[in-house]
Amino acid sequence: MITLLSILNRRVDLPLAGGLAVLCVLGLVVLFSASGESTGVFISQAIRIGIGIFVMLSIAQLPPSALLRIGPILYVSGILLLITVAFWGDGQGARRWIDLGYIRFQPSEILKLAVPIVIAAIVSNRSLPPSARGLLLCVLVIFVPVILIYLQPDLGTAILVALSGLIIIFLGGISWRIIRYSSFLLCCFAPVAWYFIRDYQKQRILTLFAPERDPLGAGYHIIQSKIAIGSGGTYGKGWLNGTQSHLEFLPERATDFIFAVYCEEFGFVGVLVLFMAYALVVIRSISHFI
Amino acid sequence: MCVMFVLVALGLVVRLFYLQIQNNEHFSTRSLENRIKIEPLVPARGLIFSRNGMLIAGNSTSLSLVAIPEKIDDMKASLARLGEKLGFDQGQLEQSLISSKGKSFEKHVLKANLTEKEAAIFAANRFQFPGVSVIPNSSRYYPLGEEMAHVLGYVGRIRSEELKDLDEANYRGTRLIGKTGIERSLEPLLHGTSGYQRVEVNAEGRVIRVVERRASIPGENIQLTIDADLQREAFKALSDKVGAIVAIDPNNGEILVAMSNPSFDPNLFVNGITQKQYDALIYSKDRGLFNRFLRGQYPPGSTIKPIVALGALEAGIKRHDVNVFCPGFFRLTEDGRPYRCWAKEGHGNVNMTASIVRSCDVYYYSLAKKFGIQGLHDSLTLFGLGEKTGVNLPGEKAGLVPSVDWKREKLGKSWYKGETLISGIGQGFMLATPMQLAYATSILASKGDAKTPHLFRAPKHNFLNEINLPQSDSATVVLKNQNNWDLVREAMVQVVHGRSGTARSSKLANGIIFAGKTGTAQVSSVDRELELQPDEIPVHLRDHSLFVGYAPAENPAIAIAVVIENGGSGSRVAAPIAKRVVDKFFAGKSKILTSRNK
Repeated sequence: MITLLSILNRRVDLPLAGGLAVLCVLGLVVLFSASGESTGVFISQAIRIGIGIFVMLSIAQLPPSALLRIGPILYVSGILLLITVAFWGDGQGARRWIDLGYIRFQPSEILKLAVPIVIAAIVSNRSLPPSARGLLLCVLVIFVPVILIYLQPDLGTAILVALSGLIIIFLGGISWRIIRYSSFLLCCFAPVAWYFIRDYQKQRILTLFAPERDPLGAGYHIIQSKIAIGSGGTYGKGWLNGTQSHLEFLPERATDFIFAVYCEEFGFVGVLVLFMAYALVVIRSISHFI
Repeated sequence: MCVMFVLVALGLVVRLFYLQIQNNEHFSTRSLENRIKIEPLVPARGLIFSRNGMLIAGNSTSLSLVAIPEKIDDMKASLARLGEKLGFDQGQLEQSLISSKGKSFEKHVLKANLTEKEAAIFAANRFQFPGVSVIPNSSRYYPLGEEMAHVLGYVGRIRSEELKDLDEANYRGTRLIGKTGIERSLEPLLHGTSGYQRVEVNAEGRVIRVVERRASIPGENIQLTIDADLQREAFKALSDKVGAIVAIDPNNGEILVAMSNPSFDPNLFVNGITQKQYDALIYSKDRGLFNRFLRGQYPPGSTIKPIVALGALEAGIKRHDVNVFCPGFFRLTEDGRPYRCWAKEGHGNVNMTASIVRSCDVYYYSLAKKFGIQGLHDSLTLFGLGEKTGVNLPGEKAGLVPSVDWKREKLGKSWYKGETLISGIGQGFMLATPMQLAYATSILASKGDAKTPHLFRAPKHNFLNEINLPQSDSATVVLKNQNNWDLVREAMVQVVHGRSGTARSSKLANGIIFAGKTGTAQVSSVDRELELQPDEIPVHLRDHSLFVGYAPAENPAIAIAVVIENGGSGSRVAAPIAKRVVDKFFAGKSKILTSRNK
């Protein structure tokens, strides 16, 4: 037993794995409650976690140099798929999906991985800090897919992809001066951007800041999830006892709003446990850089 | 990097602390409010019984198809499919949705009174219609249909205009409201008090459990003074004739019969009448919706002669035993136009009694000439003519007793002497409703002890005060000479029982003494000008046939007024109908008496 642990300890970061395990278990537990105690949803999520762990362990076997070679291939195929989606894609209102018969997936998901790998490849090939030419190339690599995704339209994913690339540049050691200038430019651009985004996107932003504007319409989800979170209190209403979710006041509770379900049922104490697990994962992940 | 991460995490924790610990109470309350909904509990509407305890307005449960607009994505398509599946007219479904009150998250009635088959078809296809459901609700039915329609009125769906005047809290769940008749005048009593229940619901609004409940208080049950058997007899007696019958107990003002014919089926209105049915009622020649006993205004004709005679006796215009010679006409001046008596050949010498018994017009021309229009007006007004009786039904008409002032004010013209003459025989401008005629007759019967006609029996508790029931002893006619009552009564008895009485063929069964007066009110003057036979005159120009009377002549128990539109002679048409109803009245009484004796 002790030998098994010590072997594991040599190959695996045990605190990180522990943190991830806690998060996975908590996720499954809340999902069961949020899905209306559906064992089907529970089992399929467990299977997905299993697949995820398998994929993670497989990729971990690859040396970083292999990843650097795979990155551009992923990136180019991702871009091609995005273009395909723009013409032949599925989806209500927005065209984001590719239907492969058995599975439907969003090509933008590929870019979430490909963009940071490609940026890392560009940055690591040159001297640090990156030169102006290198930076320009990075910006191009980031914004081609971002604009394609934004046109789908899927502002949320576009922002995520942009961030995943920008963070790599940041980690690559960019000078604070450039960060300051670009943040300043971004702030200046914000009012202009307002005219380019669509009405429902404006609505979402307005609703974020003032959900009570339209309590039965756009603000409904936010108000109901705030009620769910707030009514959880210190210790929560208990597992499977959240009235907001079980009486179906919270929409989409098995997806985006699952955090509200968790807060309602496990309270502030549960939130602290969740945050500590996340903190453990994040701290162990970045501790190698600092 | 680390600093940023810590700051973001700290921000989240602080925000969550603020929401969950600091504001926990606020959000707990809101989550409780979310799942607790207050639902109204609609009170059962009060039942209405006849005098003899027969149910004449009851409640039944019916199934309604309702929709919650908010839950329906494509209303038009949904209604179209509903119409197709259940065989309803889509336009009508849309119409009822538009006209129904309430907000988009409340239930709106699409179609009331589903048949069991329709409900079953819907149940089988329910999954296709999110936001649409079938709910049970209380409905109203009138077992006697046409016979009671004009007394009871009917209930119908509340319209948004009506909502303004209602106590919204008490009517939150109520679907039906009294529109006319008793149903309307006693609405506050019949409706009762709404209750509520606090229920736990899910976001769909489906009830999961009842948390708290305050029961509703049902509406008061009402007993009417109407005798259902007698009312039916009146309905049958009128059969295909257009007219009205009102019978009152002169001792207390209780209305025994109030029948207007043709009538209508009030059940049609309860759950929404179709346009076709409504048009049929509205555009029918004889207008079944028109309440003739309450709103029909007819020239009273000779039926007012006993009252005019009494007024003249009291005023000392003419002694009862002084004769007037009737040559068949009367002239105001030597060479003026002749005012004709209905008997062309004249009545010869006529005293007061004979003038009533044989209904001599010339006697009253001469009386009116001396009495003047003001004298006529005052004596008729004493008996309630020209003003509403105050019976507790909506929409009563006041009739008309003309005067010099009235004509100047309303018509801007001066009064002519000839108009006084024809007023003396209840013609010209004069109008009265059957209700007024019955009331005036009941005052004659009780020798001036006027009791306001009413439709409710003496209640167990005095809740009727709340709805301003008119005082029963509203007026009394006091005569200087009590003998005058007897003189007029004796004359009215002779009308039925005398050899030359105009209603001599309408004597009551079992020797009960009937006092009455016939009337034949002129609609047009064609018959007299052209001297046509009655059946040569077009129906709508024929005279109205009237009769008023009371029985037994001593200690009267019933006073009755009958008006038959374009019926012709009062003695041949109205009097026999009155006899039939009054006979039925005493037949019922004697049955009770004989069964008691056994």
